[in-house]
Amino acid sequence: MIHRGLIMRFSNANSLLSAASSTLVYLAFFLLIGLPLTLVVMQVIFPDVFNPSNPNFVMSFGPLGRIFSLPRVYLAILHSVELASLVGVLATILGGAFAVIVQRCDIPWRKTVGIIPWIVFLTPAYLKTVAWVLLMSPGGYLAEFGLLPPLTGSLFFAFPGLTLVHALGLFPFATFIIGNALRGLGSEMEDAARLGDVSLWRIWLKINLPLLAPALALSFIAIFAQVLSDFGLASTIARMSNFGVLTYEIYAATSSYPIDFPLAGTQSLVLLSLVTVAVVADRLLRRKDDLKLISGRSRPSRDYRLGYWGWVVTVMAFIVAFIALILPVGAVIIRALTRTLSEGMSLHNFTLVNLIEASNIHSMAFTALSNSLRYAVIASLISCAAAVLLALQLEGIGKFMRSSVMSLALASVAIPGIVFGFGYILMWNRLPFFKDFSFPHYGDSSLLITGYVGVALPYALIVVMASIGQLAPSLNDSARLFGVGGFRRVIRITLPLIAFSVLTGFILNFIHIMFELPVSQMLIPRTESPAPIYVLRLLNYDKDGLACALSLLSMLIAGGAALILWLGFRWVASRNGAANNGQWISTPSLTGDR
Amino acid sequence: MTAELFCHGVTKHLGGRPILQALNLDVKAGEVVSLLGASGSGKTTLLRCIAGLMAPDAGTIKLDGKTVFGDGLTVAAEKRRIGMVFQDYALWPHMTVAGNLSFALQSQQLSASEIQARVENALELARLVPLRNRHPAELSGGQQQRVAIARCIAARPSLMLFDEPLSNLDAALREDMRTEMMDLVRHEGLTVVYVTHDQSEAMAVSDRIAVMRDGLLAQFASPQEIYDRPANAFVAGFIGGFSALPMVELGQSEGYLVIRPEDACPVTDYPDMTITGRVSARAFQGRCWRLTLEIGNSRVKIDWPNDVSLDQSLQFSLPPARRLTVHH
Amino acid sequence: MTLNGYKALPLVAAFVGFSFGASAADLTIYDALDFAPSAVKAFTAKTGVTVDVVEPGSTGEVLGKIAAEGDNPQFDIVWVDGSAVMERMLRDHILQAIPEDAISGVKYNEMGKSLLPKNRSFVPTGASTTAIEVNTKKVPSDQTPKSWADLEKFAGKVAAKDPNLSGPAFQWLAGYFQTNGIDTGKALLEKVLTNKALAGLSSGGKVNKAILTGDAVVGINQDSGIIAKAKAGEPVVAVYPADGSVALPIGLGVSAKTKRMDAVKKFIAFVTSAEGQTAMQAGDDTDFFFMPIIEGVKPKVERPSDIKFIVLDDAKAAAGEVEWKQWYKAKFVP
Repeated sequence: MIHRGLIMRFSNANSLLSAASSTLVYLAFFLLIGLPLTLVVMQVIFPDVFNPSNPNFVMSFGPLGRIFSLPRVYLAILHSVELASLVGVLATILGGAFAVIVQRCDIPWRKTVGIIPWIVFLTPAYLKTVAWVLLMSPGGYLAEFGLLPPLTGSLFFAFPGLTLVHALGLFPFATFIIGNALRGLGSEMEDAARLGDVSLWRIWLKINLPLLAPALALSFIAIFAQVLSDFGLASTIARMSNFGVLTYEIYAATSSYPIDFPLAGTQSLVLLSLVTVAVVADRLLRRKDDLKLISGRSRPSRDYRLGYWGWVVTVMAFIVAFIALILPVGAVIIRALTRTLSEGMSLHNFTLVNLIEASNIHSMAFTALSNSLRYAVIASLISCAAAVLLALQLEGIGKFMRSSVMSLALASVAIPGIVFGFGYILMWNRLPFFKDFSFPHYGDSSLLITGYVGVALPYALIVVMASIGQLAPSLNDSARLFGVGGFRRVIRITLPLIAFSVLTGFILNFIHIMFELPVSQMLIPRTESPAPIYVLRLLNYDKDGLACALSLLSMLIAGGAALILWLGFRWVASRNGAANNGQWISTPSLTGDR
Repeated sequence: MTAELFCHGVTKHLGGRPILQALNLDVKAGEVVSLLGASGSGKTTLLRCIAGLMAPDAGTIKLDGKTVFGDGLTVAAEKRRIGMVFQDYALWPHMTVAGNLSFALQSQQLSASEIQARVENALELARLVPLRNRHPAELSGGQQQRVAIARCIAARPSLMLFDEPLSNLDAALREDMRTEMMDLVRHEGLTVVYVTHDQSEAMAVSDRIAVMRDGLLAQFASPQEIYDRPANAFVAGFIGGFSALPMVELGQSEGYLVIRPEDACPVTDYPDMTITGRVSARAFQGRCWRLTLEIGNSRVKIDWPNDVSLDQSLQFSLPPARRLTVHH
Repeated sequence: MTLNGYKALPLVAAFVGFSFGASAADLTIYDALDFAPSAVKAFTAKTGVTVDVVEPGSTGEVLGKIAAEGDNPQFDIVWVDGSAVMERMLRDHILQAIPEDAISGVKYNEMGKSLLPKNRSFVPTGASTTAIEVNTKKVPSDQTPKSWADLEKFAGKVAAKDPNLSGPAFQWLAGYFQTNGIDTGKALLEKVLTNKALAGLSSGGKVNKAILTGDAVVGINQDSGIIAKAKAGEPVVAVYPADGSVALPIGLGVSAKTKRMDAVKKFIAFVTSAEGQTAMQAGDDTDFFFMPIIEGVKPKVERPSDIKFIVLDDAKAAAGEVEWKQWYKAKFVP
């Protein structure tokens, strides 16, 4: 009897603990993302709630109405949707193609092609913005080579160019998401079809693509959301044509005194709704749960032999790499090594001055860089840990909760950083309970890091949830039956199997934060300012050279750190005796080994 | 190490539909019982309820006399000392074969040397010693299955559950694996609940078979009993190519005649019964031909010594001892 | 052997502990001026008062941050280009009127005296004006524009800032309407700024870039910026139009809720002294080339002595601000 009582009490305590920890995690999500966002958006209906001289809760629907009365606003909405949809489709196709050719085809130079998405992924967007302006301006580098026919320039700084640059920058996301799913797919179902003498195209059409549908949808939505929230590219490349997007309108609404919060809030609401519509549509169209693809019996897949076509594919991949990577990075490198832009690439214009200043430990540039490194490491660690904890909680709860949180995370990706920035100031400087907190505290680096975690968490969450979602539940169930407790199961089974995805999430966060601007600006600490602000100042004062040098340095450090982490990870994995072939370890086919 | 299983009144609804309806099941110590049924019959659900991976809505489950579910009490799956072989084997892909085995034992409060000993023992028993350092991805389906079983056996569970363990194997391999599996199980004298949809498999391995339909037990008896005396048309239809011919086709008002394909013989042998049908399909089976006859609105399968062309009319009879009629 | 999560927590804690050690300085300044750090350094060296210099970006971002902070400001001093915005902040009780005794001791020159606001919403510490930036390589010297009206000749190739995003651009626009009349002024601008890709730029740097390597040949830009670029070797020159241009004060405002008025007064005294003004010229970026408004202080680069300065009627500018900004956006910004 006592024994029974103990068992009961134990299971009660266990579930209490579980409930408490899940509440804690949801609370964190709410505080990091939900509340700041609410504070901005609520001003759509309560425009005066944060009025400095006369705060009140008077309701008004005026701001909402302005969306429809201001043609530039609803035009911006249209443009944003147009752009985001097209880029979503293009980038998913391009990224998926990369995933397939690297994992499944015996192309020449396979390893090199496999690295391309990673390097594109590691190159920050705003750097490419600077680069493309350098390249495509009438006085830019391509013109210098005579490679810029007059019409191309104006075509580029408009919708086509913007679409191209976005797609070329975002396709790695699709590669990783689809690649992950592909890895778990194996060849069994294909082999079964082939035995029945079905052609390869039909197999892909009828078997593989439907199985990959969840990954394809996730890619599209994630990229869609990212394009919606983009500000850097839109404000530079598209502004020169008449292609205004919503994020720019939000920026304009908040760039002077007094800030038009209601308008900014309304527009943020629109962005949120757009993504929500996409997510809901996806859920409705695909009722089935995500396929559990990493199971206890996955077997490696076999390659397609392409023969001569392999060379064609590889060349095309390199062309993509050239346009997406080599050209822009090359432009940045050249600019970093030259004194002025107007002198172009004339020999006497080359100098090491910029690089020297950027790497000078005593320079402001270097200080800013090291600040950002520190912030990025801390915030990414916290964000990834939080993402793993949250994802694990959700696994135990149910499909609906998981779906909702995933949708929430995707919607958060669509929120421009500037809205987060303001939301954080409102929350931690104006709200009664929070403004008296000493840690985190507005004006200190503690709040900046918190803000970074808030913007980075959705990305980490998406990556980790997608990965956990692929684990077959039987892996955990069998461990349970062997008496393995929850904590131990997480450490010994779940974490190792999603470890690489977590690492990817970490690197993603790290890069994002290192180059994140609006939150850095709004939550700038009184001392120890982060790098992006400094780089922006350089760019604003037309000191492209130093800005490029600093950005290059940041990129090298970030890339180098990522490489070290990745190599370390592989070393640890091999120490644990895992087969290099490890399907389960979700290593990208940098190896291409089979 | 062996235990009796007692399930009483186990009920479960999922998504509004009743999956298990007040099911009763008892398994004696050391007995092998199969849960046989089509998909959706609730057999996997019952298995998961027994394992503790799912909680029934009502009912009692007792293991070796101790209640693991019921009377407001639930023992967690971790504590039930039940071993389960999953359909996908659930081998932890990042651990070697030996790693899989030892990890499974590490939460059982055993000393390191005891764990080592059991792992070695299990590897030998399942003939996995040369594969001990391989990872699951490097093993064939049959080998993976052996690892799954060895892993369970090493933990010395009181009850073993099998969830369609052979369905992922090639047909040729199935029979051999089945024999090997059951040898291991019998050797350890384990109590087993075995879920399958393949009736010949159930017949081959079990001491008793629980035929399930829509969450209820249609019949719970030894394979011989079920074969000789299926309780109703559903069970009859489930077993080995049996056909349940509605008696109305033979001029009677109700009931079904159970026709076992191997019982069909020429009318001349037993002229007191004649059943006429039209051949609608034929398949060569090596020893004989399996013919599908259309009788009125029903179809019947019989084994026939020689080939008969399609659309031919055929008459056959059944020995008196093999004319079983059932209801519903 | 996992990378993050439980094992990393102690690491995180250590790191975080390391980072969190923000010392509270005596003064906090929000600014968008290049010379603030160097001025502050000299100030601290002289008085021992420590200052945190917070520079989130351009003026727009500073103002945005202040607006979001609302009635709980975290700064003591705000220091930016422009006067109109100071008026608003005073009206909203974000700023307080500068104490009499802080201003009375300052030795302003003529220009300085003309920029002093009646309601003491800010302390002027320097000035600049808007001029026409001409690319000497693209425009032969005989075709250089001499007045704002001359810009019509260059229609389609004129770069300008969006007054919604740039304080100086708005002040220039307000001054322009003040001298030309609103309707005439609007008509003229519509003839000049025919290329939307160039007419709504967000910063002086972008105007520069457009003129140097883009489609523009001339632009409307802050003169200190033009002078800075010219000094750095770029082929540009500042032309001061005959019809005059608005003098733009660099304004220092004081938070209504500051608790360190004594330190604030010390700072004001420093930056309006000869020593402070010299420290404010110790660099090469745009703002270092401001026009000093203190008696006896020379600018880094002399301007022509015959520049016609217009003093802005701040009240009228504030009154028309919303409408003019929206007009500009609708007409010239894509």
